[in-house]
Amino acid sequence: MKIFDWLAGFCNIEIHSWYCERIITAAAKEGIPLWQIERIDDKTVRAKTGLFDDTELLSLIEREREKLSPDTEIVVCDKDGLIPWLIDHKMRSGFAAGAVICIIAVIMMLSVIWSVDISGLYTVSPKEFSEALERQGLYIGAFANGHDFDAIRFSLIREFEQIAYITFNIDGSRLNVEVTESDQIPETVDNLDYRNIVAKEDGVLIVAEAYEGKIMVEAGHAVEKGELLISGIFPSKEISYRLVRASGKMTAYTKKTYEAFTPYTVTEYLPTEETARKYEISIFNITIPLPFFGDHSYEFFDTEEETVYLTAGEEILPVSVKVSTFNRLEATTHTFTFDEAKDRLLAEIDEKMRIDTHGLEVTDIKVSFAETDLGLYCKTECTVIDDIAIQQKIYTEFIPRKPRQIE
Amino acid sequence: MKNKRERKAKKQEFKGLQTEFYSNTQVTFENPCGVEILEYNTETVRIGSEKSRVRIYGSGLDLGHISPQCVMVRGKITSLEFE
Repeated sequence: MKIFDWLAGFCNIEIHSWYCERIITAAAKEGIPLWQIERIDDKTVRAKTGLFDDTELLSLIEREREKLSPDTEIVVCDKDGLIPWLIDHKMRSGFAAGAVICIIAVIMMLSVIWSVDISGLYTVSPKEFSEALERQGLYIGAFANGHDFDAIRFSLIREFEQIAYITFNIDGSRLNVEVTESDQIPETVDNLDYRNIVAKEDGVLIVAEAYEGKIMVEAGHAVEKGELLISGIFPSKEISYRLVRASGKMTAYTKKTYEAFTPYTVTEYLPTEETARKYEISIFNITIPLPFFGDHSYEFFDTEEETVYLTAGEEILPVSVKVSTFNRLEATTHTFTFDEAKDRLLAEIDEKMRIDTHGLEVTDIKVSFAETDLGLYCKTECTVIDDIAIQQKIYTEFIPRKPRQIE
Repeated sequence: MKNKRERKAKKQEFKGLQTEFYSNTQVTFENPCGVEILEYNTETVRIGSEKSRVRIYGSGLDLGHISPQCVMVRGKITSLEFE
């Protein structure tokens, strides 16, 4: 509130009268703003009024003179705020030069692109996209205004097939480029890309069905990793064989093994309440560290970074302060009991299994522990029902025939 | 329609002071017909409207803001008296 008062400007006044209340009420009725009214003594009240309202207040006193005591007086103690401050400093050449430099600097900051933020790129390389933007005249140091963004957008969409739309937003000195990529074209199956189906891992087949190709196994068979399950070389009565892209369903019982080890004595890094901050100021993309504002000598720490941009209204200026907060970590040694170590191992293996066997049916689990001097070892073997079919390319080679020699 | 008119008429008839307290540190008096400062010093403030008068007791009282329809009194308020 005080900053708004200062920007708008105000007068500190003193009302000397036996009937200060009447003056205050009359001023309120006339619409003359008065605030922070304080009683100083029986005859004096101090208040604040608008920067140009003191004359109205003086003329009010003249009009109401009859109702008030003859010694009524209003004294304007001082005027404060932005406008009086500017008037006081107008004759200083250094101040004027500084103000001009400031205005030029702000205009420069807002008229030039000082940072480019690109978001939404997944398949397109950010480097290639930045180079393309540069070719279109959007780079650090270029003027922010005067670009035909529609033309740039269509040119970039033509250049990059994967891009569906591009949005450009200029926030002062920062250019935000939001890219929307088009949906991926679904993968098409090339029937001339001949393939076999082989076993992904060892297992006992439950279901063995071939949709295309020649089936080489039956349900109930035990297969090894890499064994041919469906052949893409299909016997033909007419042309001896023909190549196909084999496909089918091969569901089998397979074994999965998970291992984990935990030492009994573990060093953990726990956060403490001790923090330190480090500041870096960035002006026109030049980073200046401020070591005198704070540093740390922590051996172990976590870091959090926050960047605050200087703004003029909604416009972002190329001046920012990066605050790095370091939280000191304390190394503590913790010794587990057998049960604690066991729980820790089981939790670790459960997490591994949860990710690895997602969507699979687990039929059997066998857990075994082995204790050593250093810690506890855990091995979990489980049987899952999984599709073990994996495609393997059939490499064909064209062998040109040698020309027959004519005798 | 009739009810609306009646309500409007009733509203115009109300000439008392609408009083709003913020703990014992700030009190605001409002009246659409106007409020008046009758007496002001650091221990007592008397405020009047067309139909009612109020006296506030306290210490370090000051008038935070004043306009034709509203007066804000700040300070340590100990009691309020309707006259």
